[in-house]
Amino acid sequence: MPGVRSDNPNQLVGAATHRDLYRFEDPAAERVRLTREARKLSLGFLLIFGLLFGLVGFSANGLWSKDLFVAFDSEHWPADDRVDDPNLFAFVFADATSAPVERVVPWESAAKEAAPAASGSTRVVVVVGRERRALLVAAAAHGGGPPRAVRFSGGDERPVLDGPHHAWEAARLFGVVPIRYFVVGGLVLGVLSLIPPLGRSIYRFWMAAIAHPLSWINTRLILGLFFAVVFVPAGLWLWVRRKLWPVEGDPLQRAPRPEGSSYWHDARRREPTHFRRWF
Amino acid sequence: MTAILGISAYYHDSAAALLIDGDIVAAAQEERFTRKKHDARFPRNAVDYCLREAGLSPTELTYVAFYDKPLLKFERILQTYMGVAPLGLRSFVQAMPKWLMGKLWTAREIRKELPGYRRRVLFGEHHESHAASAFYPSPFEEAAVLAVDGVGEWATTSLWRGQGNELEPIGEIRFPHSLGLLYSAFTYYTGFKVNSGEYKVMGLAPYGEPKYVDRILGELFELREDGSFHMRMDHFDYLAGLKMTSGRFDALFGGPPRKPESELTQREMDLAASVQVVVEMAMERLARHARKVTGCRYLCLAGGVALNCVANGKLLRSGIFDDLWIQPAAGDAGGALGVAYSVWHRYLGNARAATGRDRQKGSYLGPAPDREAVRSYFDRIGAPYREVPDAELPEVVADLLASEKVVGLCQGRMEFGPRALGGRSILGDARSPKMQRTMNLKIKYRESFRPFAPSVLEEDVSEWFEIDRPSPYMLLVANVREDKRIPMTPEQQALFGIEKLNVPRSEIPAVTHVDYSARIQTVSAETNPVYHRIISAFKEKTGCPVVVNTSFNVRGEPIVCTAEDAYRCFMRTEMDNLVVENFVLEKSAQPEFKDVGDWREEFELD
Repeated sequence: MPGVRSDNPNQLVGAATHRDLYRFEDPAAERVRLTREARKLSLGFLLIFGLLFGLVGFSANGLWSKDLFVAFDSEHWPADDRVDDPNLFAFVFADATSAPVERVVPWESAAKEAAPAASGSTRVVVVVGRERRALLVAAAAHGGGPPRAVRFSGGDERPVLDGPHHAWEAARLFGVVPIRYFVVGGLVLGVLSLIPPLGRSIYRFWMAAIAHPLSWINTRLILGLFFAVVFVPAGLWLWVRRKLWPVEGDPLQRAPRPEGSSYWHDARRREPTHFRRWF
Repeated sequence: MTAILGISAYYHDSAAALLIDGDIVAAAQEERFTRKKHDARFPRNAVDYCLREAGLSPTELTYVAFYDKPLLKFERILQTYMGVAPLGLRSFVQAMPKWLMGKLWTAREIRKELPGYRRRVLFGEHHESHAASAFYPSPFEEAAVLAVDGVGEWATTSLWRGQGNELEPIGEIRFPHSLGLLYSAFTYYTGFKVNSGEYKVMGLAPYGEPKYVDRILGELFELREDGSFHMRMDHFDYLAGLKMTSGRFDALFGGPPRKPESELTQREMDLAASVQVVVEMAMERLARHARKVTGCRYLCLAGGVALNCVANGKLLRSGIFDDLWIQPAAGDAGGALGVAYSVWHRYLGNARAATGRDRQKGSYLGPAPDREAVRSYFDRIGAPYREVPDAELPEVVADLLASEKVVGLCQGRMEFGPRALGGRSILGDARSPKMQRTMNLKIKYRESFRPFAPSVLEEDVSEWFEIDRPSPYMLLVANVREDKRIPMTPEQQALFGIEKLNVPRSEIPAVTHVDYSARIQTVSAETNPVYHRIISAFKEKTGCPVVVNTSFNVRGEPIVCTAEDAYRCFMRTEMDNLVVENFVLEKSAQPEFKDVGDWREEFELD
């Protein structure tokens, strides 16, 4: 190994100087650490609030709905089509059956926050019923004149989506992915990165005034509950066992043994491979 | 090349040790770097140092090994709480977060602290690490090994037979029955800090009468002929509570524990004397059992109880074994070295050949001051110094000692283990009757009853002390020879307890305890040539090959590591001179020292 055993015998007998061994004393390193922690904290906020608002948004998009949906946005439908009429749509599924459409909900009436459709486009959510867990192969508007092929932005094929999937699809299609929270969070993160002292101060305040007290209380509550629920019954059971079998019943072997016996226990010989285990 | 890094951490005295091809390259305790006594945090500074000493990066390590098995220890703790529930809630709530947040994820923590290390993290058993730290560096080809401490996973005392590169476990005594915890209970009860003040109890013992021995053996601690023992747990509180002893213990000894820092009374001295006798009895029976079961002629000792040098000295004189070897870092710090040795010899199967000399290198395994760095430090702070040629340094230091100056010495590599052995020591004239008091109260700022240890030239030890072999690690106590003692008058003989302190008892009163005992360090020219030359020069001048050697620190402070630490300690105390490598400083010539805050508050009293 280079640099380990050189011709200089002193290299292995005291060559290390220790001017810079005190990592903990280095204020610059401590500042770097705090800044890093502050960024982690902001990122945590960003993720937590993003997730929270995202869930709210997705719920509004039908996250918990049990119906199946087809959500699409097609420029092939003129805005004046009567897209809210179920009879205008016909669906063909992979199992070669056709299905009636239960109802069609114009998006604008379902989600107020939806972004406006592009000019000349129509957005609809078609509820096709739960029994249709198959791939939608084609959809056509009919009624009156010749059917018009519906072309989706991703192609002709589109999955029939249940609640959670639909929520994402609908949110993506209609512009309600909680991007604004990520943007705000990203800005905050950027500002904290540009002004590290501010980030460090916020981090210190957060840790001292909120995080530590909360964790102190939570820890005691949770552990106290755990002790009461698990350890107390187990302890009582062990107490009974100890009364019944004073030696074998007590893992702590508190009862004295008869005169003439020994308190030595046989030691188990372990194979060298035991070093690989932490138990 | 096989590089093995051993680590001990998370309980007390965390440390790191590095073995390259079976040779100890470096070992150090974290407290020396962080300046926090008994620091239990991950030893990142000690690890950094070890790697730097060898010129390695973490990626170049062959193995990293931890000194115990966290999951087994956790199991013992959970079983203990179940065994005492519904008591123990407070202790449980305090202990669990430390386990769940850190101790259980030791491998992850190690990887985090050693970026680039991708190989397996290995784990030894706590007592196996202790036993390995005692046997593998020892000079013996074959030996019985006793590890005696507070507690590891379950074992509190374990017996092994070492031969070649094998360590065969023979028997163990399990938690909560523990000789170490018994001693700690008395440490707590006599008002000292557990895991820190045990050696004060040992130092206090000679002032007392062992009048409580029968009570301890009858009510608290059942000791059998084969050295095994059992404790009456209703007298102790450490299973369920946050203290060591219970109300029954108080009732047995006639009152509550002594309040820390309050006046020491004869009761504490008698208690200390009594528990010391009990520990000596137990150690002797354990040793007899070990000899009988293993048939070995030599004994190796490790674990915190092996730091009880009074018991060690008695064990040696008992003649049960032909010789003893005690790991200088016998506490948990030594576990780092032990697990590294275990991996080298047991896991990797490398052979071991005893050479008749130990492989501990005098325990000088830490960092050494770099002369250029020291010079630039003193220049930067404007500290006047005299740079003395190496050949003249022993004369200069001996002159200072002979004129009763107290000298701080920081030279060569720092010691691994709790004892200062001439690398980071405060030295004084052992012949001076006022030296013990001066050093205790004006230099160390500690209790006046505490004795100092002698450093004596290895070749002269038998002329001054009743011992016929080297004691290089200050782990054996022997009496000052009869012909060096000063007979006591009848009035002096009638003195009791702490009153005995001021009676000069030998030609070297500063290092002679009230019972004529001394905790001896023999100095060899091979392992510490500079220190050997200093004492030799002192002998030339005075005819006495003995100097006072105490650790270079004040009470509650870890032993100094760097020149900066040494200078700070020098300026905070009434030490007369400081010697760092070949730079000699005189207190009266130094500029005013502006300290940061009150250093007495910086170091928590031990």
